Amino acid sequence: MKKPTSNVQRPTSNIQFRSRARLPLIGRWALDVGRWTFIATALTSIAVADEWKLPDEKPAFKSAPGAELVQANCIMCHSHEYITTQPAFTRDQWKASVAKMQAKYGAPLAPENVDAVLNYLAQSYGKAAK
Amino acid sequence: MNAPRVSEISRRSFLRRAALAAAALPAGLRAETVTLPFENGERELVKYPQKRALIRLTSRPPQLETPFAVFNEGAITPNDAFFVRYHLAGSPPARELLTADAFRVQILGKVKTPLKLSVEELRAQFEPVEVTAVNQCSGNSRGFFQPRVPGGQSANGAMGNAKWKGVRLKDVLEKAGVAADAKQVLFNGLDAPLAPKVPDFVKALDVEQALDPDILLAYEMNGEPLPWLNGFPLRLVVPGHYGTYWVKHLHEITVVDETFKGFWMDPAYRIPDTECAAIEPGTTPKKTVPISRFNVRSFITSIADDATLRAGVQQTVKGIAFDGGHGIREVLFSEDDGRTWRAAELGKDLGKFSFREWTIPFAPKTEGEHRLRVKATNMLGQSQPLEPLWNPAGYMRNVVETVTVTVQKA
Repeated sequence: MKKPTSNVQRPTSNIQFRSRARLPLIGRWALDVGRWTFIATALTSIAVADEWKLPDEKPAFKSAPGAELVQANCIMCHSHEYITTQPAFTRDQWKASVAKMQAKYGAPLAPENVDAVLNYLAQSYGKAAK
Repeated sequence: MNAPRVSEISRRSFLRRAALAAAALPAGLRAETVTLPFENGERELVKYPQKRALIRLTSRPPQLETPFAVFNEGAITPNDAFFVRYHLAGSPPARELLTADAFRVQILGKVKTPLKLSVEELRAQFEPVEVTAVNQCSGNSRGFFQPRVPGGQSANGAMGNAKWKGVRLKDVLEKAGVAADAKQVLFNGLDAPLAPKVPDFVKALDVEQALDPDILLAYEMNGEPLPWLNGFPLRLVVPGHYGTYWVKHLHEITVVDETFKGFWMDPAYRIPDTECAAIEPGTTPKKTVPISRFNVRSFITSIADDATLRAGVQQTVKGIAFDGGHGIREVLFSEDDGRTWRAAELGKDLGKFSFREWTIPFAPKTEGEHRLRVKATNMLGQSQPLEPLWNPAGYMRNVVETVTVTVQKA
C-alpha cells in the first residue's frame, strides 16, 4: 500500500508556481481569480460552520468505581461540569442532589445503583475526597 | 451571621491564569483557565460562536460567565462578552428552527384572536421600543455563598447590561385581546429537554405584570440581532427582573386563567418569603415565593482584588451599580473597610434599569493592606448588607463588595 506521506515531499504550491510561469497573462489572471475565489469560499464556509457549531465536550470524570454509572445515568441531560465544578459536598448533600435528579428530572438511575453512585460522588467530588 | 470571608481565604488566587496542559501540547490545544476565588473555582476560558473566550461553567447545556474585567470597559456589556445560561440539554435550539422562514411566535390560550407572527411582522406591525437594562442570573455569585450550596457555581460575571430593542409585550397581547378572566401569561422558548421526564422551561408572569409597558419582545441587542446563545431571534426582556424570566428563542406566549404550577416556577426559582429573601444559613425556608426583582448591587471594576497600589499616588476608582428598576441614588466608597465613607460621582444616566457607572478619586495614604468597599442606595432607600445574606438556592447575593489591595511605598 502506498504511504500517505508521499504528497508531503512535493508541495502543491511549488507545482502551481512552476506551471503558472508558462501560462499566458489571461491564464495567470484566471488562475489568481480562481485561487482567491477558492480561498474565500473555503474561509466563508469555515466561518459559517463556526457560527453554528458549539465546542466539543470533553469527558472528564475521575476514574474510580462507579464512574461508569455516573456516565450512564447523568450525562444524557448534562455535561460533567454539573458535578465536577461543585464544592466538596458531604455524602448526604450528594444524596439530596441525586434524589432531586431522580424525582424532578427523571434520572433513570436504578434504585440498586444509588449507593454506588453516592460512594463515587462522595469519594471523588466530596468531603471524603479532601 | 459570622460566615467566613471567602475573599480572605482565596483572594490570592483570583484570576490567576494558568496553562492547563502539559508543555508537550501545541499552543492551540492548551486550554487557558482562570481560577475563580472560591473552592474548586478553576474554569476553562472557551470561545463559543459569536463570543470571545468566556469562562465556561458547563458545556451542555452551555453556561458561560463574563470575565469580570469586561465590566470596567463601559456601562454596556458587548454582545460577544455577554453571559450565557441555559437549562435544558436541547440548547441552544438548532439553526433550522430559528431562520426567518421557520421561526414564528404564537400568542395562544385565553385570547380573542390567536396570533402567529414572524420577527419581520413584529417589526412591521408594532411600535419599536428600546431599553437599556441589566440581565442578571438569579444565581450570579452563588460560588461565594457560605455555607456553599448546590447549583451553578458562578462568580460575579453572570450579569450584563445591554440596549435591547423590540416591541412591547403589552401591545402584542392587546392586539390578541386578553380574556377578562385571564390570570397569567406563560412564556416558552425553543430550547427543549431531550429526556422524556425533564420539565420544559416555561415561565409565568401575572397578567397585570405582563401588561407592564417596560417588558419587551426583543429582537436586537446593542444594535445587532440577538446572538444565537442569547436567544436569537426573539427573547423576552423583563427589565429589573432576574434572567430566569427573560425566556430565549421565545416561540409560545400562552394566556391562562389559573396560576401556573410548572417545575420552573414551583419548586424551582423560588426564594424564602422573608425580609431580603434570607434565612439562617443551613436551614430550610418555611414558605417560598417566586424570585422577582433584583436587589441593589455595586462593584469596584477598576481595581482587581489583590492589586498592588503606590502610597500617595492618586487614581480614579471606577465601578458600576444597579438595582431592580428604581434607579441608583447614591454610591459610597470606603478605603478603610467601611469605617468611613465618601460619596462617588455618578456617571451618565442610561435609565433606571441600566448599570450606573461611578468614579471617585483615591490616593492610598498608608502602606499595608487595605480593604476597599462600595455600597449603593437606590431611589427607594434600599441598600446592601455589610455581611452576606443566605438562602438555600444561592440566589440574590448583594453583600457590600470588598476589594483588598496592598499599598507599597511610592
